[in-house]
Amino acid sequence: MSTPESETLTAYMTRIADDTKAGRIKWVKSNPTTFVYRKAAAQLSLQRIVQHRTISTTQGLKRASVTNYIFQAIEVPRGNVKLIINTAEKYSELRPLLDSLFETINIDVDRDGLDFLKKVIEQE
Amino acid sequence: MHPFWSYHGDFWIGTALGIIGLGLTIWAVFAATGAKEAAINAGRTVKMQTVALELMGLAHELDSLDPEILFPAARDFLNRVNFKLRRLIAPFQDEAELALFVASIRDSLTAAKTALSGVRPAAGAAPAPVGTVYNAIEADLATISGSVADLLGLMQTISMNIIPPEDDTQ
Repeated sequence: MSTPESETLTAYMTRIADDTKAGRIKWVKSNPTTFVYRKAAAQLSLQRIVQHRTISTTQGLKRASVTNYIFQAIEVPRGNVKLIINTAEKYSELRPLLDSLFETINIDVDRDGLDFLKKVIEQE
Repeated sequence: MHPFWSYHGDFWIGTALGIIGLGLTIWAVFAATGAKEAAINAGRTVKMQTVALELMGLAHELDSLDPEILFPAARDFLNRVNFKLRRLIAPFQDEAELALFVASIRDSLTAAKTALSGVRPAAGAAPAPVGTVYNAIEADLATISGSVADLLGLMQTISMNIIPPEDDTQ
């Protein structure tokens, strides 16, 4: 269900995705499932989590998986977490948007890697 | 001419004793088979109870993972749990009532290891926020813990069912 907060967050996430595409926000890969963007007073992070569940059915146990996202805005250097969006607990309606943001970041980081490789090759 | 058994009373006594002896032998075989089965079941129950105690300890560890755990500690923790849990549940993989839960625990352990490898820090990369590792494996650990609890419950039920009341008092 859409709430005023989730609508505001949707607008912010869309803006972050647009800025990422335009190269105004440069994310770095912290690990295979987490990206981090750090600026003067804040750090943003986006983590993709694939969660597996065992469901008991009449035919026995079945395994199902669901992909969730954790977006965090942290105040630096204090380390205070100012905002957490965990689609497993709240704002599940933002899941498709965060999925798209994750892919956008992933493509941007890969493109950076390719640009770096191109530079290295051209320097030879 | 009369057949010889019609006037030899000792023939009938011998025959009767033979039949009684045969009956007693058959009864002894049945009793021994039952005793053997009871001994096997009792041994199985003792094994289940020993394993159940260790599983309870592991379930407690799974439920009390530090939310700020870092990758190296989580890797060591998961390796230890993986090894211990697989060793404990392996003897029950062919038990019809338990096989499903044994398979579920194994699948979840594999899933947890995959999830953990998803947060392996990239060399020289910016540190991930605190809680990243915990968030990655928490759901799989909860699934493992739930399956272990199911397995424990089934083991206790089987232990209660397979010992007849008279054997309980011995």
